[in-house]
Amino acid sequence: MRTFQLKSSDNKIFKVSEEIAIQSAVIKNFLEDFGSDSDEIVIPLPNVRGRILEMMIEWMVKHVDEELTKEEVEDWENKFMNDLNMEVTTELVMAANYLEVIGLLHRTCQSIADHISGKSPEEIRRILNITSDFTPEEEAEIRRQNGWVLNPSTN
Amino acid sequence: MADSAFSSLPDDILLNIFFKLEDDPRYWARLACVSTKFSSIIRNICWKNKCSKAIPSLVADLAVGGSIPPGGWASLHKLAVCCPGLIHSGVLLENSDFGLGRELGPDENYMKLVASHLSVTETKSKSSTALFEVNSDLSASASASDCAWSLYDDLYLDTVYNDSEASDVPDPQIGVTKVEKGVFMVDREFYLSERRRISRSMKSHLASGVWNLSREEGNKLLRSRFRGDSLYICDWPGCVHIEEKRNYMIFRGVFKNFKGSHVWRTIRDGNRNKIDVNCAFCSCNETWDLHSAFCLRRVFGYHDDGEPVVRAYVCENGHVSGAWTDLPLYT
Repeated sequence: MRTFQLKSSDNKIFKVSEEIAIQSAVIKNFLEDFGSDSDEIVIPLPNVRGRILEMMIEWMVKHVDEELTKEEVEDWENKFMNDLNMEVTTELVMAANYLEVIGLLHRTCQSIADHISGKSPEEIRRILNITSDFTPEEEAEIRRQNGWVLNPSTN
Repeated sequence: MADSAFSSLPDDILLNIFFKLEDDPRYWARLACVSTKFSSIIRNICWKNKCSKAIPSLVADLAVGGSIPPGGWASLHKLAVCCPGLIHSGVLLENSDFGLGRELGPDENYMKLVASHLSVTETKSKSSTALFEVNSDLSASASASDCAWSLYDDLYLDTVYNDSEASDVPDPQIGVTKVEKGVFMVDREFYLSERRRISRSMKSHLASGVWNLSREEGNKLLRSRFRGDSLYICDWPGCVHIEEKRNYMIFRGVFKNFKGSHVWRTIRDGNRNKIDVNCAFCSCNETWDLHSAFCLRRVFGYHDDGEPVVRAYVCENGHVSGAWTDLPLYT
């Protein structure tokens, strides 16, 4: 089993086996193109900082563990996501998207969706730390159009 | 403070997140109010995609050659899922429109709602007089219902609870009847559920029933000389609103190419006045009454109190809101 080194944007090095690393479609393609048997390959990942890369690897390790049942993996995923704040979750989404770790991408997007489902526009802005960039006129129009899901007195 | 990392997420990731929230149409409508970026993605991609999947034949007919349907995708999507409610379907219009002083029209219902907020003292029209006198116990019912209501009331808070409108309410302390607690509780629950339904049904809301629009239903509404027009209407019975006087089956729909329709020509050539009912689906502030413009089938007629059996209002974009009522038993 080959192993590689992944280097984060803040120059942290993580040693991973091929089995784990190829959950990233980008790394898989990289390795196929590279085609070397050397253990000395260092793959630089300038868009991912060390802490996020560490979490991604933790995720990928859990998902190749054959001793875990499907339910155990799901339980672990839920706990893993619950421990994250929105800022870190968003960074993980970006990293999963960049490295094409599809399972992680969907799970993190699902987590964000769960956080904002059923919430008012104001609550969603607060949760995602977004400022409204509507002009007062635009905001009035969009709230009139969608008033049926907001406070009905504005409809 | 700088915006979060979230603001830098590319559109395809936002779409990934948004499409995990597609089951309840209200989620997207709320997301559209968050920021210009969210709004643009929801309006131009999500709603378009959803319409194309949910009502493909209507989309093919309305958005010819990939054009945007009148009022935008937001309007078309809203048309598919949102009941216009009693206000937009014209049920709460002043009853003087029908030229007959009706004893119990929609306006009285409206006022009764105001009265019932403080206490239900108006018992004459109810069959269960004794039951409603119980509610005159203001001290108990008001405080109790406030607690029971807080969450739902916030969601459906209505302007009818305005103090100025409540001035006609008789003194609730008159005729107070002390009753057993058990009886009171039963009564209060009945009273609450009734109020809940009424205040909710007035405004636009998520429609019950199948979210589908078809031309067959539209054809049943229009007089024979307008059969060439394509009017898509939601499947019978639409969203059913059970009101005190009668049931209203509220429908919604849209004309294909409204400005090219016979109905539009009839309205325009007849110089019909617009009325003050705004469209539930787009930004039009006024609509035309299809009933008084003689566009609806004659057989529908009126109830004995002057209320039309079927009413429908159309806006400039061809969006239709209206209500069926049960046919009178005699003619």
